[in-house]
Amino acid sequence: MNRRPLLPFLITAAALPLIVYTAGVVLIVTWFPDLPDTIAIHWGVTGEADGWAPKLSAVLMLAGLGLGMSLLFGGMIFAAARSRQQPLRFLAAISLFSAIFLTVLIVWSVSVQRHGSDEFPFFPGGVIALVLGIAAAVLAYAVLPKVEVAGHVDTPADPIPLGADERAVWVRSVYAPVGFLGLFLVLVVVIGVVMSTAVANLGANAWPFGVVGALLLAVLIGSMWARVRVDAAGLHVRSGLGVPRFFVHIDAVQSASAVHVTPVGDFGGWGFRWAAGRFGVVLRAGDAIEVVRTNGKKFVVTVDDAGTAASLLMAYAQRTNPGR
Amino acid sequence: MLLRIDPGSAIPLFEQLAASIRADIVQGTVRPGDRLPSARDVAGSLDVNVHTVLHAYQQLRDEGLVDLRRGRGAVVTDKASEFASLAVDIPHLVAKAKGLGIGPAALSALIREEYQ
Repeated sequence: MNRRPLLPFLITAAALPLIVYTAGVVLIVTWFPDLPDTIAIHWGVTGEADGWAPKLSAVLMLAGLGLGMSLLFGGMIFAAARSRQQPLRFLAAISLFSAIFLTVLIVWSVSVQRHGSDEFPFFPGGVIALVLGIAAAVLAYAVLPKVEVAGHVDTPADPIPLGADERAVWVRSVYAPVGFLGLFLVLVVVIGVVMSTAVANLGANAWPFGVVGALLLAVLIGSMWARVRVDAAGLHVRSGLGVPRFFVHIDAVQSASAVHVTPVGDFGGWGFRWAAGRFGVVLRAGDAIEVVRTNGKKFVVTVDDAGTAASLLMAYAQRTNPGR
Repeated sequence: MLLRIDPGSAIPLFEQLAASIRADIVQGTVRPGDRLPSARDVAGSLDVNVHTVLHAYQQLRDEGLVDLRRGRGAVVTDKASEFASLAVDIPHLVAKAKGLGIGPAALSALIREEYQ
């Protein structure tokens, strides 16, 4: 675990936003005497109101949103801090932007209703909210400490001693955590409900929902497990349904090592992802093979026994390119 | 699971493959219920004939270590865990043999005798 000053990031990502959201809630509550019992909370493109709610619910929604967002980003800061990659500045900046943009927007939209008006065009209130949010985010990003990883270099794995004629292949399957199966089932139900509603309302015109739903299901199933193979040709990754597949040619292998991956902290989540110069097939936390390509780019795949796989890759890489 | 073969060795390739898989089972890297990679994949990766790999899988099936099922491929049986329990004994035996200057061939002969 790396030790680094989390406090500035937590302040920017959680404390400041909480203050902003709270200020917004308090401000609106002080306006309660001037507001009708029911206020507009949603507007169409033209700025005309098309959704209303009791003012208390509106304020509670803002409070809930604020609390939820602050906790979410605070949690993400913790997760990211435990890993080597630090999107910490970016995360914190995003959180602050959201807090300011949303609160200014919501507060402004309520403020206009104090004077009896119902309309809330995006200009100028929304634009000002956007500008303030971006300004704060940029300032935070510039001011927050740029934390450098203390010389963290992944040492390449020791190559397996392979006789000149010997051949070897390393194969292993990796599965997403069992808990994801539950999440997956929930998503299947949701997709099913959406599709049946679409069919009920649109009849034959619901076919785009069918296509999108099928694609989503395919991607989800494909992310549940993968087969990883190392042989003389290189590193092969084949996900559950056969596609997508990933392949690193042995000639493109500069070095390989076994690393530890924290999905949220290192890649911002699970699945097929890019983060900080690495592309990863991230199905679960834990051991992973990291390949540094000759072009400098990195490929990561989470799988058990990554050390043996990396060692075999190094052995083959050195065999085909003795200079490595 | 790591499969190694040496085409230069006098031992038939299918036997080397079977031995490699057996070693993985004993070590516990392959466990009951795991599916062995498809014969075609292994053959392609090791640049050997598919039938060589199938022969190795059939040998393991005859020993009761895997089940060959249509559509599912080779699945490691529960008996494999009994095999793995040997893992505790082998290093001890080999260490003792080494200490006495007894090589693998002689040790194998002694073990084979015991089966009579």
